[in-house]
Amino acid sequence: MNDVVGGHCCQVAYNLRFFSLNRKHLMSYLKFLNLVKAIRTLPSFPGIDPVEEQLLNHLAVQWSKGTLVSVVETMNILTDQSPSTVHRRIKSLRKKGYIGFQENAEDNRVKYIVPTALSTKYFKKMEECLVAALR
Amino acid sequence: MTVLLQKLGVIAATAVAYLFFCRLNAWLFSLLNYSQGVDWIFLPSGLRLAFILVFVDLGAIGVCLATTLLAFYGQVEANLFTCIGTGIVSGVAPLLARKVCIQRLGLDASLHNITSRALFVTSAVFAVVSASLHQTWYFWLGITNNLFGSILVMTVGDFLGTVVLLYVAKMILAVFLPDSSEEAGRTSR
Repeated sequence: MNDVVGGHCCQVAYNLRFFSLNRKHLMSYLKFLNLVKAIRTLPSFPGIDPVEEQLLNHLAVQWSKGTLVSVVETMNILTDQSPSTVHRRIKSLRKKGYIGFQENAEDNRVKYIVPTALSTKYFKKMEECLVAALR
Repeated sequence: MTVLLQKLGVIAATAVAYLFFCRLNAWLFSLLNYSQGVDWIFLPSGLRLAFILVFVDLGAIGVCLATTLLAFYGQVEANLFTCIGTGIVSGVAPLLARKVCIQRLGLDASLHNITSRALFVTSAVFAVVSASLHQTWYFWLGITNNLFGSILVMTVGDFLGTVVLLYVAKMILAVFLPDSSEEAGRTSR
């Protein structure tokens, strides 16, 4: 038992000595690792929460059919969420650039939700992920 | 002796990489050149940021050598004083920017607290300091007449170049070196 503890202490002492002797080189490597970590976390798509994702998926189904969906219709699209919650998510999705509004030419009180370049990119990315997962 | 060789190796590697990226930038974005030594996108600035943050003084010497060589072989007028001066400014400016980031913005020298947001802020500081010093030097030499216009364009170019390079690095990392800790987290969930 003592031998095991002694061996472990020797290993720790050796590791510490190694770290102190090679501190400068290790520092460069650790700095590099920290930089890589920061680069990995660079923002790509603005983050969306599960409700926003669910909403976006419902909208995508309607868009794929060529249906124009108004804001009021969308507020009732998710049966498990209240219209006010959905409305908040519509606003946040618009703020993040995933959806845009288009006014009805005949009645400007009616606004339709339309896809944006970012949402198109998002679904393309999702498709790529799906294809990669199926491979 | 080994340490000295390693240091020389780092200097040589940074200088060669910086030179290569300067040539690549000139080839890719020749249309986006604003004036002598000023581009709307300057990719090597991202590399310079990484070299200075990781290798500090050794990275600065590498950048300084590469810039001196580039200046001597055509980028700026081939006057030895001008070339060496441009090289020194190129090496000293990012060191100064790093000092500003550490002393004023709370960046840790070992980068343990660096986040994506801090990386953007650091890139912006590097771009402003580098462009200001470079253009002041060029203005003093009479190479540029429009000091503030050139500072602005160079700042934009350096910042854009850094962002482009960081995102290229992010893509390369995602494809070739996926984050194992993230994957482990996903599978354990």
